[in-house]
Amino acid sequence: MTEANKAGPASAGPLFEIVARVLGALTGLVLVALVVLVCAEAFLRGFANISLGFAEEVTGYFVVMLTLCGAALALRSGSLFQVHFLFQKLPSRLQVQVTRGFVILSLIVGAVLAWKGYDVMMSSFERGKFAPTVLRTPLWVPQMLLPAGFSMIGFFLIEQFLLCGAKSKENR
Amino acid sequence: METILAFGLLVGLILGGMWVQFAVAGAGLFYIWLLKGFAGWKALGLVTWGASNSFTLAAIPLFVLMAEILLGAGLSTRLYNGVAPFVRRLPGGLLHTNIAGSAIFAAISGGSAPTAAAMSTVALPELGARGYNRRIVAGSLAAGGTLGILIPPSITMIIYATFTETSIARLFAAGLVPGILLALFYMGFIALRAWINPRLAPRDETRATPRELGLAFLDILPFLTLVFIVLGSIYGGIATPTEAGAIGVVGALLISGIYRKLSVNLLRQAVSRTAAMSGNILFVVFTSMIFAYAAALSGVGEQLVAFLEAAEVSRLTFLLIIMITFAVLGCFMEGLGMIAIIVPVIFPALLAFDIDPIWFGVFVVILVELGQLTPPLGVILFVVAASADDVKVEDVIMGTLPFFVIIVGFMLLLIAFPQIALFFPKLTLG
Repeated sequence: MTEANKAGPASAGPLFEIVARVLGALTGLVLVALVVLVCAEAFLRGFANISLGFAEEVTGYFVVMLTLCGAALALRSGSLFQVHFLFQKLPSRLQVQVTRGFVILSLIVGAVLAWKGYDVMMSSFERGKFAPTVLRTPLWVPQMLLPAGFSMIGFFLIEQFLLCGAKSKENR
Repeated sequence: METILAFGLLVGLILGGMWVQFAVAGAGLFYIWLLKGFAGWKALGLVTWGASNSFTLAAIPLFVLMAEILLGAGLSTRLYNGVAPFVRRLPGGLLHTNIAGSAIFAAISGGSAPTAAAMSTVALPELGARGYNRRIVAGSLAAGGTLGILIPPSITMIIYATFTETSIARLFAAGLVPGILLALFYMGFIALRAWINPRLAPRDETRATPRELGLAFLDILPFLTLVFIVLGSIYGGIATPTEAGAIGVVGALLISGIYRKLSVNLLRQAVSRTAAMSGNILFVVFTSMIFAYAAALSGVGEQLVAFLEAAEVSRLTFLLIIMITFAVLGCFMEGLGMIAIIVPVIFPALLAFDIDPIWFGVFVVILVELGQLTPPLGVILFVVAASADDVKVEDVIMGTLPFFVIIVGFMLLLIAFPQIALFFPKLTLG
């Protein structure tokens, strides 16, 4: 296990590193695709009076992906918003315990949201719902991002839990 | 009672050090459970899907990426040097560059932290070496940085618009005049302080030659062009704010290319930072929607209206209460989260008091500015302090105090003359 340093965030093992790299690359690609898609729509509409018709819909799906994957990456890099001024006053042993408690609580929250996301996805699948757009996208496909994204966040929360364990050992 | 318990849990979790997004989602789930039991969670999937699947919110990563490209390319130095010859002979000298440079950078960046970082990294070493008073330098940079969320494009305004269903274009138009006015007030204060005590800011009396001014203008011109394209396309009704963000990214790439700063490494870093930063911001919106859904279920907004009417609270008193509430919450809550949680609750009261939601958007953004300058969580204070080794957070806080007073005074002015914010959207968008 490695501590956070200039080379990158703290890691609980190579598996977490690999997943983070793949996720980072995927999120980066989505961001680039978002720029290209929205730009193409703006230019085509502005100069040729043509609309792609699907830009708005696909952009929405990109935003869902950027939200959840970006949050997972922010969690791993330690940049997810946190208020530290009281927490830092606690003794280091207690800090580890409190962090563990927060990780478990966050895992529960993430699990509930993943479960509810899965419900929505299954409901769209069973009812054969389609997006009311030119693409007629089966809604369960993009809605898969909800349980998948929260699973990813949960995966990195587990890493945080493991890192807490490592810190706890160091304190002893 | 449920509302008090949910807010209590939220504040407790945030103060305890839990990740803000999970604290908000956890408190939101608890709130819904208190109101409707586990059955209340049934609609959560649809609520969260509807909240995140949004074309409007795509503007956030795009504006973040635009600023990250310009910041990564180190073009803030060029902007700073371009502004300097125009203002260095004024009382306060190069301190005005901090404000004017921040105001221009604010018009191509959606947030305060990138604006403060862009100017601080250049100005702190430069002005320190020239013998400027450290505190006033740090204070002007922090104050200038806050213009980032008031002068459009503004991520804070996009989030406000998401929760209130107001027009982003109108909000952007409404923020422009107050942003410029506030920058002028800052510059006026700097000039006055330097006039009273010239040792604070040694003036460079060298008159700029026309050639020097011309070259300096060429340094600023690409930025002004980008501002014109991004904001002009929105105000002109040519592009939506999201499209303007994407055009802005292309513009930032072109400018970086023109100055030969564009590289694969720059792009990789800008994309990577944008992914984490926008994930952070968008996740606040995502989880706050759960809390907002719970607040709507509880009817707390309507209860608040009934309470305010029964207590015969005036419009002014209501706004002062809001100011105090935000000031207190700003001590331990991030600005975006504050908007996402408080605004849906007080929105019915705004309508009851006949307060224009566009005007209130500007008012709230300035309140968030104040929060960014308030310890212990004032993010701008830390951004400025981190930009130079010899500047402590205490210096930044002390330097910021007069600007804090100016902002409060400006808010009162905005209450007295709402047209400061409302005149420009009417002029441009009808």
